[in-house]
Amino acid sequence: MAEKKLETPKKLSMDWGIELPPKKRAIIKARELGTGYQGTIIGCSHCTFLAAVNALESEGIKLISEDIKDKLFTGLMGLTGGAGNSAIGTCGAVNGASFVISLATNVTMEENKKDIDSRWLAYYNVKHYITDRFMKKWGAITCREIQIKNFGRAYDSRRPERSKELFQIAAEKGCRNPYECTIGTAAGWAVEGVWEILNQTPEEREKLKEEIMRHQASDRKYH
Amino acid sequence: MDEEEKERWKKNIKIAHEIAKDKERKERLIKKAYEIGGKYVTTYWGCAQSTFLAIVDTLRTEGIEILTKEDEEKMFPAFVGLAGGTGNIGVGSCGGLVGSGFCVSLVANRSQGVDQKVQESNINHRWISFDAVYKYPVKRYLEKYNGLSCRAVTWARFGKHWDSWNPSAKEEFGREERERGCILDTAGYPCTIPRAAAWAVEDIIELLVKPITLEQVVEEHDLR
Repeated sequence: MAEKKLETPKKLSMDWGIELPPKKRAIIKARELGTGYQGTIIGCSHCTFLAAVNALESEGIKLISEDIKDKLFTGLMGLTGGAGNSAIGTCGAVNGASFVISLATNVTMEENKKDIDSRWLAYYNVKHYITDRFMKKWGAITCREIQIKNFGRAYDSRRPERSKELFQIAAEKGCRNPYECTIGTAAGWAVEGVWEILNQTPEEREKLKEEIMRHQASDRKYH
Repeated sequence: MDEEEKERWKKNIKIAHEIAKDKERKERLIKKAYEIGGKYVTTYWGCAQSTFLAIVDTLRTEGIEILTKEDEEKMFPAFVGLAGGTGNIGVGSCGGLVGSGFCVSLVANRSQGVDQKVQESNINHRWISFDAVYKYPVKRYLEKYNGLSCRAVTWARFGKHWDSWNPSAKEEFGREERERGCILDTAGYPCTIPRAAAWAVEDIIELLVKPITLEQVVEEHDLR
């Protein structure tokens, strides 16, 4: 079903010369890049991050410099496959996508220090745009549980024979396409989230924070 | 990776060798990580960003600069949303693991000149950071907390887990943390952030002295 949703606007665009809205174009681009990177760079965390950031750049949105991008890329690599490819922790695609959402939310050191409520904006955005969607689609955000949902089995990729089995079952299932791939999906969600976050006015951002804090007021009690 | 950064890593490796040989200096550095980590708990109130900063800033006190101050500030916003098991939902990796795993991965890669281009030229490089993160923060967490998630950590420490998006549960969590001294007595009762930072600082020194190489990972993971 998801395939049709993406295929149709792209086909219309190509066949009939209909201009796609830039947000839609960026989401499709992120899905395609994420899926492609898994074949060339390999690793859910850094591939998701790179796909989202590069897709945004293709529409003129530059979140970070090339140098910072490269450094974040190398730091994220080790968080692949549930951290160190252990499968136990958070799925790397969730990490990569959440990093991008959090970057766009832009709670700086200064803001975080001056106003501790501000950190809830990043929590909210990551939850709203990434983890809630993972929970809905996969019922989990951890690597092992997502594998179970995707393949009916999970593999310890630290064992060479199991790692090969995982790649094999993914190939057999044919999920490395922009409509099913976990990396591509997460990158697309990150782009969608960033687009909406960057379109907020400062007043809307402040209002959102106030709404979150109205609910989370108890957080201040022990700080 | 530019020449300036390559030079910085050479210097970092040299200092790490000196620290590794000097027990007192090493102990001082680890103690510093507990202090800075503890201080950041009450400055930033988020495990991922506080752990990340504590590691980078502690290493800098002995001259090891894994990131410049400017880069550190630019990267900081990326970590905030990863706190509390990702978006504060508890079920994902502890933010302390994310912050420390990130720093360990960064060091494992960049100290050996591995950046995106190098990874693209030979995809086996990725296993260097996978193994470093597994060998250091992941194993430390499994041993101490029997898991990697925020939920596993609070379960091991308190025998309880709280949903931080539930205001009354969050309040109770804050109260218990404070009562145990996690916030007011960070040296006497180190909580997860300073502990993760101290582990990572110690591990990064070892990693700079004894790097995980491409040859090792190719052999170990049957990548030929």
